[in-house]
Amino acid sequence: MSAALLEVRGLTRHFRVRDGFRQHRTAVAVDGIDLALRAGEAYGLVGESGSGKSTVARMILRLLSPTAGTMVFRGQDITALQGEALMRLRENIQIVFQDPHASLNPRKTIFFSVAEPLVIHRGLRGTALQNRVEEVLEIVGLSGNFLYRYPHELSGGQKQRVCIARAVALDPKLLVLDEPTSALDVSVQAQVLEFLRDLKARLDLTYLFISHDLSVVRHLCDRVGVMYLGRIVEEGAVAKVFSAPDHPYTQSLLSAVPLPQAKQPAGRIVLSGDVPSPMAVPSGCAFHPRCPRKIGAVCETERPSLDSRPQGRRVACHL
Amino acid sequence: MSAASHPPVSPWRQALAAWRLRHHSKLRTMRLYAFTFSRSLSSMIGLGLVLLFFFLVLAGPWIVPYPEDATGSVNLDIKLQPPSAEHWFGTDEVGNDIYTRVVLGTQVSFQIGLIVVSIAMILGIPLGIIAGLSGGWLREVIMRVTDVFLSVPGLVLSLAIVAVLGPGILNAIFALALVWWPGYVRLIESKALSLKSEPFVDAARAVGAGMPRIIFFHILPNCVSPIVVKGSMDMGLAILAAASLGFIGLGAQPPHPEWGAMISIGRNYLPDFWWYSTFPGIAIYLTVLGFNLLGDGLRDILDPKTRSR
Amino acid sequence: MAEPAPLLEIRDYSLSISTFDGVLKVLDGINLSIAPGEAVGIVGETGCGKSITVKSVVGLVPSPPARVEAGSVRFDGRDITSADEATIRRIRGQEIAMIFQDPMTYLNPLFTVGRQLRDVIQAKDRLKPQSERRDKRSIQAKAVELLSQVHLPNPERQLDAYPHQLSGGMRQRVLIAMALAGAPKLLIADEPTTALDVTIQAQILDLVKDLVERLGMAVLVISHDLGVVAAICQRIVVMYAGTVVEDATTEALFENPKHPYTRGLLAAIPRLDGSADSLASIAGTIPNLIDPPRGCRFHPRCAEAGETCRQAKPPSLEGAPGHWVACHIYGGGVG
Repeated sequence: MSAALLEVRGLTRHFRVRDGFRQHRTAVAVDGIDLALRAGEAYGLVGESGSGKSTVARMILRLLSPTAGTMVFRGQDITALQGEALMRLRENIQIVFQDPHASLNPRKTIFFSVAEPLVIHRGLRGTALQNRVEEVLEIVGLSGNFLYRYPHELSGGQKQRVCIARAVALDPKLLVLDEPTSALDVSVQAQVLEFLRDLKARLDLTYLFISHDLSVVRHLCDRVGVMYLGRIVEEGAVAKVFSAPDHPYTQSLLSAVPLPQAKQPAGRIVLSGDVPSPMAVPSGCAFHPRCPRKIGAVCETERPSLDSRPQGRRVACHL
Repeated sequence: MSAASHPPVSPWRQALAAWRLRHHSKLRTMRLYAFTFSRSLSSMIGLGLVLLFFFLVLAGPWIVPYPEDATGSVNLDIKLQPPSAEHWFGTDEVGNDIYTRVVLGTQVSFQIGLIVVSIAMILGIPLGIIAGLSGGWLREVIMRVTDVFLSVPGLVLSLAIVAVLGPGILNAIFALALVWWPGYVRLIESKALSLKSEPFVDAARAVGAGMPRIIFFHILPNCVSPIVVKGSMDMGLAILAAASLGFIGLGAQPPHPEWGAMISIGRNYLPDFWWYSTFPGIAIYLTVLGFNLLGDGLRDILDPKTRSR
Repeated sequence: MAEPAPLLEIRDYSLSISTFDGVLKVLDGINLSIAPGEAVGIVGETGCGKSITVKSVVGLVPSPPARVEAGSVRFDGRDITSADEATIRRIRGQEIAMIFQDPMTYLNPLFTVGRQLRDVIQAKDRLKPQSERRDKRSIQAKAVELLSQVHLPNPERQLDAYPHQLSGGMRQRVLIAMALAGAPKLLIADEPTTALDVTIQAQILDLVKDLVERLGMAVLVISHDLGVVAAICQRIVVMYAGTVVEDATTEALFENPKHPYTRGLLAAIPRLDGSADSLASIAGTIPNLIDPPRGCRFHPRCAEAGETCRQAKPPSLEGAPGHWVACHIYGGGVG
């Protein structure tokens, strides 16, 4: 096994939520997850809303501080980096957000947005800056014509390319992609996905790809981690997990996706009920109230650990 | 690249072309603004009124027929004459030309308005930014103080302040500015609070932008529209408030040509010498109306919700 | 013909909208029909006009700036193309019901679910003669019945809940219950599950399918997701840049897609089983509708386009029974 580029141990994040007058409750967004990204891989983190996958991204980016746990990037503990060291980390980990329109400052030109990291970290100015910005835009397949345009004049796909350009301008090692294509149309999504695949090889990147869309993860990622209510319930190689899911949640998740084909497969598992609130995570296995294959009291009382199984898979289930 | 092979193109035109390319998008947006604005009659009336009064501010001393009438000259032989060809708005109780005094009063009013609104912005915007971005106890302190100021009617508070400091134009400005800034804190605080969680601010933080950079490049440029709209509306309101202070004798002192004070004195001569109070009153009315219509029009074009892609 | 008379029939419908930049030719000769009890899906990408077609037909697009340039709309045998506001509103209230992407926007946060549901039932009642109107008790009973029809657990208790106390999936169920209040002949669902999670989406899709079968109403699903449409609909209409490019049964569309755009769209979808090795994307971008391409609106992006495609708008031809394609390749060849 190659050394991990990023290793996350027991990462936890609680939010204090105001509930009524002067009452505070704790929402558990991320609940002690372990994760190791190998250099050069594309790791997909999937889950429904409220599963905590975006919170994980924001913690890795150091936009949000963890309640507990450690994060180690290339052998260095980054959990509490400050100042100069944090700036160096920012050169190496970058992020692309879901909504390309909202992640570009509406009052600034494309040039400004792409130049910003270069100005901050490299101190580039004038012609050198202009050349580098054009070069980066070239990488994402946009011509210099876009330099002085404003975000509202670009299409969704073009805007997402600008966001990717900004993220790769400093040659990062790890790119966190937080639902980068879910705001895009199918044909544009196809372009961006293919482009991301190609970019990863060209720039020698590692991806942490966060998505609720299983097909997209299947297409782009090597390994996948499935999150439910702040915990990873199953992890393994994409092809293995998708063809033979072990955890009942993964099974129902995969089975719930409506397929773009004439005949929907028989025997679909439709889960009843809603995802519980992160403010009231069920005891034991968080999935037990909805689980179609619950085996008994152990599911309600004991939290299953994420155990290793053959073929590099990990599953958190009492089954 | 091709510049060398085409000597006839002057460098000046080249620079212009480059400038137009850089600012093409901005120019287009400006044209869109101008188009939308010009389609609204009330906005255009507002703009017209404001421009007219600004013209009077700048050109006033040169276009009025009797400039010395604003500095306390006395011509008792022509006192309280009705409007005529020589004195368009009539004359007052010491024989001064009311037209002259109303026109020159524009300067006084606009000075007060501009200074009050500027001070309010200078105080309110930074406090609003700090409150919106910091959170915690700092925000609590700023916002609670703001609340205290906002809970007392502005005019009553400024009246009390002037009463303590004594009447006079400077004290009136000071008092009005002191009650005006909390509105800006409120506005900017809520705007900054919502901008803070925008993905583009997160993206800037992720590429390593520090606080000053985030404030000056990401938060402030996106606050400009509401500031401009509120500033325009407040100009009218501040002028009205200054006139109110003048009316009860706490603002500008005679013989300073101030609209509120003029109405106040003219009140004694109503209804027989109606022109004395009427013309300064119309001036106040039109100024406030102009700034309000302009503010409404600006809001219509600057509010992103009404703007299409 | 043995075919039943269509419930909704849109013929050669063209719509334009004037904007600052010019006149957008939003729809260009749309043909669409839905039989009673049929489930039809409209798919297409942003800006293809799938939503506006439906909104315009039921009178939800303000005019001006919109203008119907040509075409006719018949609903249940009546011509409603130029029907007045009151007639349209009556049809929209009683015979056509709509549900939307974001249920929260269509629920008033200040009132309970029960209150809003009862209001809807009463409003529908007002369209009936006095004798058929319900009293308070039966309105309440009807509200409970509607909620249980959409499989909301504990319907009596949910009546006292406020919208914010419900989850996204439950809100969408409440909205569907409201839509069912008037026993509509046609349910229009505009991106009904786009805001929902996969497992909740599956529940709502099951519900809609079940309702169509049980109540025998027709449903028109608008979605960007071919999977969603495939799960509910018997027939799928593919739109591109304000035109209908293909109209076929679900089976025919996936097994034997004809139009190059449909084929491109299908090739662009990542597959859950990993069967798509690399995704084919459609070159170019969607056209500007102020100055749309002459001829076939898809020709600038079409690899198979010829001279005819640049000159003439392709007619919609029935290649196989019930399979309509608007493409020159299938009608006299590409010049």
